[in-house]
Amino acid sequence: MTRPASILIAACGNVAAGDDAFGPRVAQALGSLELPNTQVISLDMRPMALLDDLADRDALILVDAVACEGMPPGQVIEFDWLDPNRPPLVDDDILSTHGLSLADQLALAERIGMRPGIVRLIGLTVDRPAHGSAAGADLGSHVDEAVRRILEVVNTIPVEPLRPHHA
Amino acid sequence: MSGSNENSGTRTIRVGALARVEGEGALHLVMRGDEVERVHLEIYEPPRFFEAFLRGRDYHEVPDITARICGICPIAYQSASCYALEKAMGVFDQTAGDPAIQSLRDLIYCGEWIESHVLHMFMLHLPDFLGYESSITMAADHAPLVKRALRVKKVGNQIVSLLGGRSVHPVGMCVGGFHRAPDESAVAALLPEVRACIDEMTELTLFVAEHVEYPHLERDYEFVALSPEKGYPMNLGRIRSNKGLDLAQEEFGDAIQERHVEHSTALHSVIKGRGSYMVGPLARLNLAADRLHPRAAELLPKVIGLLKQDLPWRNNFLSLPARGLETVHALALAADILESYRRPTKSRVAITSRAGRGAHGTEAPRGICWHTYETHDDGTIKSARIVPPTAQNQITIEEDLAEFARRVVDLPDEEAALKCEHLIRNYDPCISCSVHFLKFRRTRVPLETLGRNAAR
Repeated sequence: MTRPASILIAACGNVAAGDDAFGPRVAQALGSLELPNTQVISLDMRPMALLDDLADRDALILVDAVACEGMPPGQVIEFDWLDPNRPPLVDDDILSTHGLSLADQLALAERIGMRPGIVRLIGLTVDRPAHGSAAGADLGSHVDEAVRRILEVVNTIPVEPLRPHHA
Repeated sequence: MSGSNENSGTRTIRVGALARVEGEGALHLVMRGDEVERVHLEIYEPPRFFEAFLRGRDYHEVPDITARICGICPIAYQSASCYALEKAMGVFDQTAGDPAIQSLRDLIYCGEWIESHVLHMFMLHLPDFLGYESSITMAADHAPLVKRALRVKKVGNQIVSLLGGRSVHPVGMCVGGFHRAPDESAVAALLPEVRACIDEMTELTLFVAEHVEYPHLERDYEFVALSPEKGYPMNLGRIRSNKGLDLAQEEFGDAIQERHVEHSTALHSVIKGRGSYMVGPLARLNLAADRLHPRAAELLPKVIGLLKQDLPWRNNFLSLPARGLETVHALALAADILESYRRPTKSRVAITSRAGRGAHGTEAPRGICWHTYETHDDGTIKSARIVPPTAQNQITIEEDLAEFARRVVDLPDEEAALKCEHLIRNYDPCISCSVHFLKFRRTRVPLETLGRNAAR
């Protein structure tokens, strides 16, 4: 049995809800790149599944549409989730299910020693998600930018190589 | 807003947004002294119109569309829609009678029960009983317990992924069976963890039986569940109750009445001529405890001993240990299926499109999820009706609240509201599932009554 890839990239979002398709579209784009020591998952509309994949990771990169105070819609942003001075998100529900939000899951994971030491967010600022087709070409350029920035982040993360795991 | 109104002599307890449930709902309780004047479980999540936009779609598409009704229990929607459409297409006897297809359907459903039950028990519901605000605060004192629960939850998702291709919105099941059966090597790789989790879950269930003090709220429910010829309720069987209801699957839609009420976007269900009823783990356990897997059956007397409460359990706060027993059952059944697995030569039966009608319900983690479809000659959907478990339980939840409110009347508003919220979580309500309906009424106005402008 081997340990999972050191870096987990977890995308959230609803492909049928306008710009909320950002996360799944980024995951799709990353899926073809075969990044070393990295696993890409799309949590789709069920971010509660994140907890199942957190154990034994060195780093987590979350990818999602976000609402952020003072930031206009349409910006690809990047911040350190664990930085106490990071910009607050306007409405955590945009990143959540009603059961346990992403923030709650990471807090829970910290309590039980399961949270990766590095947690970054790559987000697309949105006004509010709406049902309907995604923003076509505009979203595509944001996805390209997000992929570029994720690759930069991945390259800066010091990770242990894949190694055998004896349970 | 909670509070007392001295002019009207009433006291209102209101929870504007229920926490730790799936979807959007509120509680509104009005009391006059010790008497409950009004209790509403207000479901304000917008209707989602699934039945309407299934019309005209090819029957192949239905399981993957209905699975999107719920992120927590997609298998329930896939399973019920597959069986109902297999009846409409005239191949139900072949799929239900094919041991390979049937065991794979049981297996993926076990995965969903495990994941959904453990999520609800340890992340959403147990903090209520142990006096914590959330699972996060609970984890500070009970980290090993939470870790073990997450291990079991994960194996449920792995089972769903094995057959569904992925745990989130799985796509493996189809009308007629499965798109493909898993490789034996993948099945063998999963088996040791499933086996290990049986022991983990046994201990977790004993924990909730031993260390939780459950409020007393005994009510004379009509418990309704599937009653299969073999095994514990899950995919097949007639629909029976503890009060003599005994229906073929096809009769269920006519036996119940769905009502639209002002305070809810989900329909309320009653059994015609009888009234409210309960579906879910407590109903299944009370009606079919003798059909539990031997691993769960041997645990049952220990749980009963710790709770000092013989079956039938008429207190839905005991749905917590009931879910624990069902999770042990699902893990042990899954282990049996994985252990005896041989990759079948065919994973689905061939289907020729035809006009038909089929109805079938299966046991979602929260109770019976019943679907009926009519199809055209070319296999497109003519009509669809979906009866989800939370809508069926809604009146019973309100009746529970009416009874329970009298017992918390002496508590401060905030505490009373919290207790009522705990009660609602007994049902693990999936509000998003319950609001997919569409009531469409068209009034035809005779042409002669229309003016010239209207006719133009």
